[in-house]
Amino acid sequence: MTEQAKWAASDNWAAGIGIVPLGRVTLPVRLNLVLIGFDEYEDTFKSSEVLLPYFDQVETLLPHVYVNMRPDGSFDASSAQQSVVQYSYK
Amino acid sequence: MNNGIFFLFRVKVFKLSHTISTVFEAAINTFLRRDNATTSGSHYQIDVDRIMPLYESLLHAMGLSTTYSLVMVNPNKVIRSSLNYGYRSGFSSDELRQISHDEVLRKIVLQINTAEDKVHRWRNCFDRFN
Repeated sequence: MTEQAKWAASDNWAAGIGIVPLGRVTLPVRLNLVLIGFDEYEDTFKSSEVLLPYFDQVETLLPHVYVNMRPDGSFDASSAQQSVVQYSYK
Repeated sequence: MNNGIFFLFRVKVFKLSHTISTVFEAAINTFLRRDNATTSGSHYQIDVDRIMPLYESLLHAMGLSTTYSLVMVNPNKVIRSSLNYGYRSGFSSDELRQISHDEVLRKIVLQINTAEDKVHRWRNCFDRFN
């Protein structure tokens, strides 16, 4: 299991810090994307089609944040999918 | 150069129901006003200080008030589909120009500011006792 996967599997902040090697500080950050007004797109594919430009904008504004999409481009918000991205602060 | 600080971002997505959308559409329609009051342009504005408590209240109810949240709003029933609108804190430049030329408007703005200051001071007093 990768470091990111271990962290993702645990909600424990201390566990998140504990699994990183010495000499490196890892700060877990939770970002909530709250979508309002997308409820009429019941179809998953249609929903992803509408949401993609918004997600692209998020990734442009916050380049260190990545919104996880399925390989086929579909997206299911109801499952509250998670993605963990490692960002090196320079 | 890499300084050894890493941020692990976990993104959680919440897709809210139609009822919530309706409330936000109603709020947007209520707070919407013309950007340029003197002409009949199609640019509108919403005072961010007026609509922000609604977002804060929603995030609080969802238990997200202590975390970083990004709200994406896609209102479907805003007055006209061709409408251009944005969020602004305070007055537009056209409104400021009007206020500066109008004695009555200037007095009203000053009175509002004084009243808001008083409310703010009273709130601070209550907070100290509670």
